Amino acid sequence: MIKNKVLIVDDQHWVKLMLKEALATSGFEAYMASNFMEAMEIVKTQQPEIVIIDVNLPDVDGLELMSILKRIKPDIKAILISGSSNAAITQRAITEGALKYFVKPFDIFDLVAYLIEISSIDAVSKGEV
Amino acid sequence: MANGRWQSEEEGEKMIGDYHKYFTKSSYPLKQDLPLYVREGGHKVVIQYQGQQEKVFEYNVNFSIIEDDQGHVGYLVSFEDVENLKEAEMNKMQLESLVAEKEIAASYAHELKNPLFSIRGFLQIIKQSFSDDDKRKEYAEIAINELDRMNNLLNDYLSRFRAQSEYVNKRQIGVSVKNVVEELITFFRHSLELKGISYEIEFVENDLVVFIGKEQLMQVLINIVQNSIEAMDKGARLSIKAFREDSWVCIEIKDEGVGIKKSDLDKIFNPFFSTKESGTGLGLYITKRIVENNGGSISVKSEEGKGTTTYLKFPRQI
Repeated sequence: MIKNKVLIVDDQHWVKLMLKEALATSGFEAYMASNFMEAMEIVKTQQPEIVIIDVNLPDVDGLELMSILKRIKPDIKAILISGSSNAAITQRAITEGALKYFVKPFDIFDLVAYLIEISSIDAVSKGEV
Repeated sequence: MANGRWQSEEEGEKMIGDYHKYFTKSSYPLKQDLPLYVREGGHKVVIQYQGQQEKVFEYNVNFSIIEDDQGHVGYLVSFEDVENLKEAEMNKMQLESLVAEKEIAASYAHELKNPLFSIRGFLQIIKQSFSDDDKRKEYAEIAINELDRMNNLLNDYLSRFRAQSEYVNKRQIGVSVKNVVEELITFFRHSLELKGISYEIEFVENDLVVFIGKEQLMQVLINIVQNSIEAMDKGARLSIKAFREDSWVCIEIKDEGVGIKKSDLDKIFNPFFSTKESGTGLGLYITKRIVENNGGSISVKSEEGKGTTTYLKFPRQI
């Protein structure tokens, strides 16, 4: 079965692992990156359809990373996550092309449901969730 | 500060006497449009003076030699009240640590969001693995609800903090970048001249406006330019440029200073990180928070031995 590839970019080890686990149990193939270089590498080699980016990364601004990844893979679908609900940053994220902005801590199955909604491959069986 | 001038060379020589060796060999132009040059005294003299009251007054004294193409034309002696200087320094530090205290508390609260999120997520995954009649499913549900309660408390705290800064923001009307930068240069003119650093300001458009408190923008720019000045030696140049880019107003501050080590570059915005002996390590941290609280962003590019460029971006509209 072809699975949808999702890249998670977050420098928080357990956040990343938890998201990976949640996505894997819902039929996604999840990849993890902690910083700019790792994210670039995975986008180039794995060509994920969706990327989930934490706004506060150690070496790059999450919004900046999103626009760089969009240049490499223009059809990549980006979702931003953050610990802060700053209205100005949310607005900026949406203007610059993020599909959605989730504020931590959020319901992970809300995220999974949204990923299924925007996935191109229906093979992610909606019954599994 | 008081300035005294000696127009007669003889009088000046008498004043300076054997101290010639303390003056720099090279000189720099006093003003771009005047053929006058300054050689600075390489030392500071502290003089103490007992006034009519019991109090002892302390001054820093700086001698400079002013020359034209023919030689000495005069001397510049400046007195700096040490007490005023100390007081101003103290006030600045107190204010900075007060602001920092609040900002740090808020950033700790923010940092809690990550572990809260991973715990909540794992609990959701665990909860899902139990059947409906399993007591443990209910326990996981309770734990999730309790976590949400913690998160609400945290949000209450953060929104109180935010309400204070938004109150400041709400009163804002646009502030002219040009006016603030000109004020900034006035603020630093003396230290720029003292260090022999030239500067260049470029406004691509004159009417650039950003929506941030004037004092806040000033604080941001002071923190950045202060670092630049400290990093630069005589003859180096500081350039400040403001321009529009899409929906942003950008301010670029470029120095020809010592630069930042590559390994330090991703740490400069961390709280308590400083390469300066007397630095609190909070200057750039607070700078970043102020910029981001106003919907902007800050980034730094640097090359060791060449210099550092800081980029500020603010939304054109709010």
